[in-house]
Amino acid sequence: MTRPGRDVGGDGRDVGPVGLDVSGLTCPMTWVKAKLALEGLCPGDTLIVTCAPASEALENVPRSARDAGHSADVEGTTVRIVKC
Amino acid sequence: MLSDAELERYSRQLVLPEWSELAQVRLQRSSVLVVGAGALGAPVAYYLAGAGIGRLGILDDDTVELSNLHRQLLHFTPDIGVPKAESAAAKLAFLNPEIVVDPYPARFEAANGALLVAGHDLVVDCSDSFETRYAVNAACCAAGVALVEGGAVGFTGLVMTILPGRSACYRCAFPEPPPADAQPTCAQAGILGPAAGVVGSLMALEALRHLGGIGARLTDAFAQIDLFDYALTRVNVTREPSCPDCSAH
Repeated sequence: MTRPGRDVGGDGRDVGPVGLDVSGLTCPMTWVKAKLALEGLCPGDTLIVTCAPASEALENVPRSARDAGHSADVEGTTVRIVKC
Repeated sequence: MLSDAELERYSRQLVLPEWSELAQVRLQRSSVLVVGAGALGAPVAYYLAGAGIGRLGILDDDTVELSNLHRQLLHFTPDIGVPKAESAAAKLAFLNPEIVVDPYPARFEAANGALLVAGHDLVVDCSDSFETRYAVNAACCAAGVALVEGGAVGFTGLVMTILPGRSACYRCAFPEPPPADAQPTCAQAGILGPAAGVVGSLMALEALRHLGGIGARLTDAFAQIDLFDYALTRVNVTREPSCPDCSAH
């Protein structure tokens, strides 16, 4: 897990988007990795998930994220999840 | 933090909304004693080992017999004559080499109960005698160790979770054992393997719920399981203020 565009908030906590590359993984590991990454974030934090081109993760990860109550958008091979 | 191999091994439980990395780490840090490696103990130990309990004690003083094999799914024909604790531990080590399995080829008795439950976070009682069941209940109450209790015979079973000092114990629910000639053992009454497997699986589920922090559901109650007519009945019980096992703790 990486933190591109690292930004430190007033309370000292990282508030920048957290990056996660699951492009080498298949389901269900893609969502397992994303779910656990989300567990470590606070409500409102953003997780940027990079998936393999044309992979089922591009459908499954955002769908699982929305099922869990988060908001999720897909752009190209990137899934942007905002934790609820 | 879980390794990539652990993430993959436990992925099908980690994807559950009710489960989490924290719950998984709780399992890893838990030590569980399974009393009995037979028809109930085998599925219990199998599922707890597979789920990633950090340390699993398997206690049984019997050896594997041919008549065990239709229901005791950790033992196989070449194991006949092998101590059940050793036979089970060997299979569990194959199942999940990430955990520690301690075989105890011993019998749970009132005299050694305190020693046996010490240091464990949970005991799962899969024994097949009332004498052992009451001894396990008393030892767990005295030591403050959580207990999942269960039994199966014929097409019926029972599962109950006991949190000493917080919920009714086995003796609160059943103050006295039935007369020795009133309660059939498996050897007398018979049982189909899957019936024992269902009851053992429910016991394992309760254990995982408790250890994972999502809450055991069978406290201050027991599940009465009728596998002939497929009925699961929750029977509420209350703590007995004068219970000799749990009232003093």
